[in-house]
Amino acid sequence: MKKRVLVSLLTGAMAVSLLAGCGKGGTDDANAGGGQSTGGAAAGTEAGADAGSDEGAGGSAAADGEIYEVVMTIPVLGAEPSGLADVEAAINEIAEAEVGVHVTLYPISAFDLSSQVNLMITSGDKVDLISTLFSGVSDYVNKNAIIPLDDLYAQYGADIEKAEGIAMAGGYFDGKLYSIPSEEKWARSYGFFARTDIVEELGFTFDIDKTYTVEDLEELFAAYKEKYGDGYYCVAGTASNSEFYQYMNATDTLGGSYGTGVLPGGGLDGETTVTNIFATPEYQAHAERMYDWAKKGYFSPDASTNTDAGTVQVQSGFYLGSFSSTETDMESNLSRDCGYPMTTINLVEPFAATQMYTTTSWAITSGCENPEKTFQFLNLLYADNDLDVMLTYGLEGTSYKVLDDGDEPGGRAVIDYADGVDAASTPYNMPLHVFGDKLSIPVFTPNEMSYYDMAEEFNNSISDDRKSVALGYVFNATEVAAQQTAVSAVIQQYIGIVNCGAQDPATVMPEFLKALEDAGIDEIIAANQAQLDAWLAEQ
Amino acid sequence: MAKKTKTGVKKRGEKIYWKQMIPLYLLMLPGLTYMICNNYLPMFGISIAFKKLDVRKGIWGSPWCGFENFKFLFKTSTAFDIIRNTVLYNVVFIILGTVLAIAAAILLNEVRSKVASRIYQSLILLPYLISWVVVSYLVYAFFAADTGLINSVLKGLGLNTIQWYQEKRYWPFILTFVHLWKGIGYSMIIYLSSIVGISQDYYEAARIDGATKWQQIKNITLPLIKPTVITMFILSIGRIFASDFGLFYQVPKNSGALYSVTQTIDVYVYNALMQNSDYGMSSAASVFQSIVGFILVMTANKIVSKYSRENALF
Repeated sequence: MKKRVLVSLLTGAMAVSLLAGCGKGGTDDANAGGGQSTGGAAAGTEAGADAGSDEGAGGSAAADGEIYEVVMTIPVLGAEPSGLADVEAAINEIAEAEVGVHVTLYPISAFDLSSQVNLMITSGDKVDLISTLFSGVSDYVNKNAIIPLDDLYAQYGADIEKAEGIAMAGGYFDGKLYSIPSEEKWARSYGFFARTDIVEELGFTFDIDKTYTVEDLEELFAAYKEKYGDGYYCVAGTASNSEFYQYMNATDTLGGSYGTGVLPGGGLDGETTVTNIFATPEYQAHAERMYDWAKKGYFSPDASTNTDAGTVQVQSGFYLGSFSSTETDMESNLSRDCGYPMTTINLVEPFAATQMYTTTSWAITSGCENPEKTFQFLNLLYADNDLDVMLTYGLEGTSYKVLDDGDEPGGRAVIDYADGVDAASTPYNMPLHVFGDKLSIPVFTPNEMSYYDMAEEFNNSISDDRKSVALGYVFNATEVAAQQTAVSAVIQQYIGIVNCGAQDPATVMPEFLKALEDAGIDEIIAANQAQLDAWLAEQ
Repeated sequence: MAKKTKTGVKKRGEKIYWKQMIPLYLLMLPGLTYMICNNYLPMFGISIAFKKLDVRKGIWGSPWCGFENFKFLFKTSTAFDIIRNTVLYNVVFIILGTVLAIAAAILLNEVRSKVASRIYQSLILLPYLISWVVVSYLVYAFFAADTGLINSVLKGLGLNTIQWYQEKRYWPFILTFVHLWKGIGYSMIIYLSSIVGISQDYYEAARIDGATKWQQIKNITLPLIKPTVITMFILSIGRIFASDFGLFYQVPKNSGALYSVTQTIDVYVYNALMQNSDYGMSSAASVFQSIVGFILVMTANKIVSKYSRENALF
């Protein structure tokens, strides 16, 4: 009897869990399907109002219409920072006085950013200023979720223009300005980072100011492999970041990806034919080289499925280094993240293309009731004040302390964690730098004040012949959305196999190209070419 | 039950029938409200699959775009592979899963020691509670090319090692094994509960007549759990066009070389829509799955009801 009761209890529990599963699926649908229900909107405003009144002054002022309430999404890594409310209050002190805006910071995990923000906009929640980190603007524009900013930029964008320079090219889509980039690097160079201790041990020297060929790199790989042998591999971060071609060749992806057609010369050679990069002889040679590397054991045998980050793999001590972009502070960043001093081996000289400026930017939603004030606030982030510093590093004294503020203008300084706190216990620190003018915020030690000179020198060193002819052009894939989706699935399938040399390119490449064709890559490229030609004609 | 009452009442006339039924309908009301709010209202979301979403105009205001959103599902040359994988794996899983779960349930029911029976039951159920990500690493521990258990053994025996994550011919078996290992405990409990529900009198009578264990199983246990089996079968038929994303994405570590045997509809949709979070296309994919699933459930039920009327779901 007892057994029977137990069993029926168990069955009951399972039935309930089944029901719970159904119920949950249902509610998710309800959220997505609810659309712009007034309920959602009301909840959003309520939340905003609550947050406002919590800080006192803001709430009452917002009520009489003088001060506009801006809800701003900020991408965070990990949990919501404990010092968020203090930072928000400090920002509002400046923002309310300067532009009459009360800001509510809405932290969202960086990895969920695009889906969360999409959901907020679709369901009519109040959100004004969004970070388009990683996702770019095309998704938002195609859903009519964000508004063009050309007029606002012309009227209120003086500080933005001064701070961003040519990086503004990253904000354009379909000939209109949709987002304001926050990009301090006006170009990228690409190459390989190798552990300095091993490079020295093997008797190699690499000059950071020179550009090397892939053959030079292969010599290092061969020497490393000979010395260390089985179980030690040259290239880390294989499946997480596996399009190695871009680290050896300057390519302009026209604001899209390798699947939407590229300018193989990076737009630097005057060539404006949009090309299926995978079908070029250069890429065929690249695939064969990767296969050769795999045979020689430069990749780990499971390279194409190992999704660990490159930095984590280098930390393990079994890897020589990884491919990355190599400009300005990347060497110190990589050295910090890998736990070994790293040596830069440049393979591609610095050049500028649109895709470099589209990673971190800010856009205003179509649901925003007062775009003018929201934009004024956005401009204020780039102006000469501490807003961007506070949003990135928190408050001086509680989150960080200044070690050296030099005699430089703006917020330039060298800082460290405040006394008594560290990376884990700091009340507020955003490792993702996405706010305002990133050349006017402090740098963490061991970077020095010389970082700013180096960065400015780098930006100014980009001559016109290292800028892509298509700079500022972004492909709008709406008309070929189905093809684009199918093509990206095909690339997902083959990219790891080809770039980690997992299978013989003689058999894999034809299969790959055939699958791309079936998925409709030619239609995408034709559409891209037509748009690019029209864009070029306008310039 | 319901049928009996209905016919019983009808004899006494329509009027009485309604009066008597009112309290019963009232009892149904909360459940019905829940069902309508939770399971039926959201179905209007299906319309997103046929719209080009414009958040400014809202879902209702967005323009219709016909079957545009469905195109990407068939745009690929592997559409056939994907559908074949989804359906065939499910067929194999349903057949093997049912047979093995019933076998395990019968065997477990024969274990007389209470402690042992409980330990076995927990051990068999345990994999069901492990997350797919953890399972994928357990599998990886066996199949890793350089440090994996199997390759280490092969190397030790002086045989050639195998690049497991590049060789597709092994994966149908690996995936089936992993699925059964993980899922069997759950369905076993359902069958076990209906086996324990069988009256001991039947077995006693059979034993007196000198029936062997096998005869008891064949002639008493199996026929008596048939309704449960059929219900479970029809329920799983409805899911035949959906697949366990964890099994097909995590376990093969999304290895491109294995796609032709591991890619199912869910994995394809995930890979395709990773880059552009297009609501229209995602809901098109699930509408497609639901409709095919619905058709399959109806067909399966029809077939079952032809073969034995009382065991059909409706």
